[in-house]
Amino acid sequence: MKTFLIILGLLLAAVSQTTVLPFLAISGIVPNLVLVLTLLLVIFRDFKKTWWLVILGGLFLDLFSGLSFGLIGLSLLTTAYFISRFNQSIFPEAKFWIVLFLIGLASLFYGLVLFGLAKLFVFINLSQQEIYLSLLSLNYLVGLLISAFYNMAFLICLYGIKKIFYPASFSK
Amino acid sequence: MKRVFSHPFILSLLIIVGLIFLNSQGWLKFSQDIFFSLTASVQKISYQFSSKVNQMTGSLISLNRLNQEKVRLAEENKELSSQLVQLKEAARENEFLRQQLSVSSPESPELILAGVIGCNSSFLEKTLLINRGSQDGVKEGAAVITAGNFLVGQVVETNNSSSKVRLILDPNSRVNALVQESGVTGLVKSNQWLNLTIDFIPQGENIKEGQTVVTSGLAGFFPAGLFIGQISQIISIDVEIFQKAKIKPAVDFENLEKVFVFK
Repeated sequence: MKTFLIILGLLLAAVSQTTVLPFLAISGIVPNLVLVLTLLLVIFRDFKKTWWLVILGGLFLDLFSGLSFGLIGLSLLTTAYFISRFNQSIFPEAKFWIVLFLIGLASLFYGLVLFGLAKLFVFINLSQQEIYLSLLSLNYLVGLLISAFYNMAFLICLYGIKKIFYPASFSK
Repeated sequence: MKRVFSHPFILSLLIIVGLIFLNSQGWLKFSQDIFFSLTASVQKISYQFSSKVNQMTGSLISLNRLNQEKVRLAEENKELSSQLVQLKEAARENEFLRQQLSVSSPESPELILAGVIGCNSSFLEKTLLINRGSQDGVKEGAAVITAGNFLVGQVVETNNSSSKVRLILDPNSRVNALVQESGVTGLVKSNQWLNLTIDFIPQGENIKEGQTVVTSGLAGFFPAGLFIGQISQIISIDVEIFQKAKIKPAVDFENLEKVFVFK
């Protein structure tokens, strides 16, 4: 039942990503709800137990996205694995500030991997869509930073909501 | 070897690569169609609700600007009315000349009305999801417009019942365009900040703020004459070969609900 609810949650998050969140865009950049949720799963429940949910989250985003199929899935998977390893080897406990830092770091990493893979897909002819952007352009890097801060702000909101509905988990 | 394949990261990687392969062969088309037909109604309701809330909050915030807007629109209306009279006269003359020269009128294109059910906005893409697909006659590469022949973008992917449209605001979109008043051609592109510009205009070409930018029809991706926007600022640096200009888009991309797809 819990697994079903998580899958449903990921699907609803992916739907919200294309229907609700675009209206909260800042200069065209929106928070990535599916990225934040899958990373929370990986941070709190370990990659070994949640890898298939990461695939599912990426698949949902891929289906709604106009980018080449699999691009987001691969980027999300790589980011989730990197964050899981990083978290396990450096931080013994998942405190709020650590999670916030990890989400910010993961957002930057995700943006870089997505860009690199998009270029690779074009190079190996898996995608017909030309990528005109340059990774080293100031626009792209500033965009990445804004998206990282936006995801972090979104996490703070999620924690706020959790605090309202489950105050017991914060009183310990 | 078995241990390598049982590693969750390697296993996940193999699954996604397998899915990419299946998709490239078109073997996932059926399951994608089912997925979209199941989620389309939820998406439509969710998108329309969010759009209405956005419009409502937007109008509440800009309430004090309404008076200024009203004055501006009244002036614009007068100007457009006088243009309309001139255009009607030109159309009548055009029709008369066509009859004299026995040239038939150009056929109006067949359009498919579609509702917007979602949109993707990230630093790498700006796309729309619409509720018409290949079963309705939507084809990949078709131009998408709104009422008034305003260019929205181009269909990049179709499913049975839905399609994805790449907006002209997408940082990877390129549109061949011309400035209607001077006939100067250029390339319309966007960046991550949704700033639309027309680039590759040779230095010395006379372009002015307020001039109209339309599709040129070159390269054949878009039909000629679709309205893109108006020049809002000219960026000309003497040492550069080309000058460029910022464009104020004709389409309000935040409040798009219905679009037309060229058949």
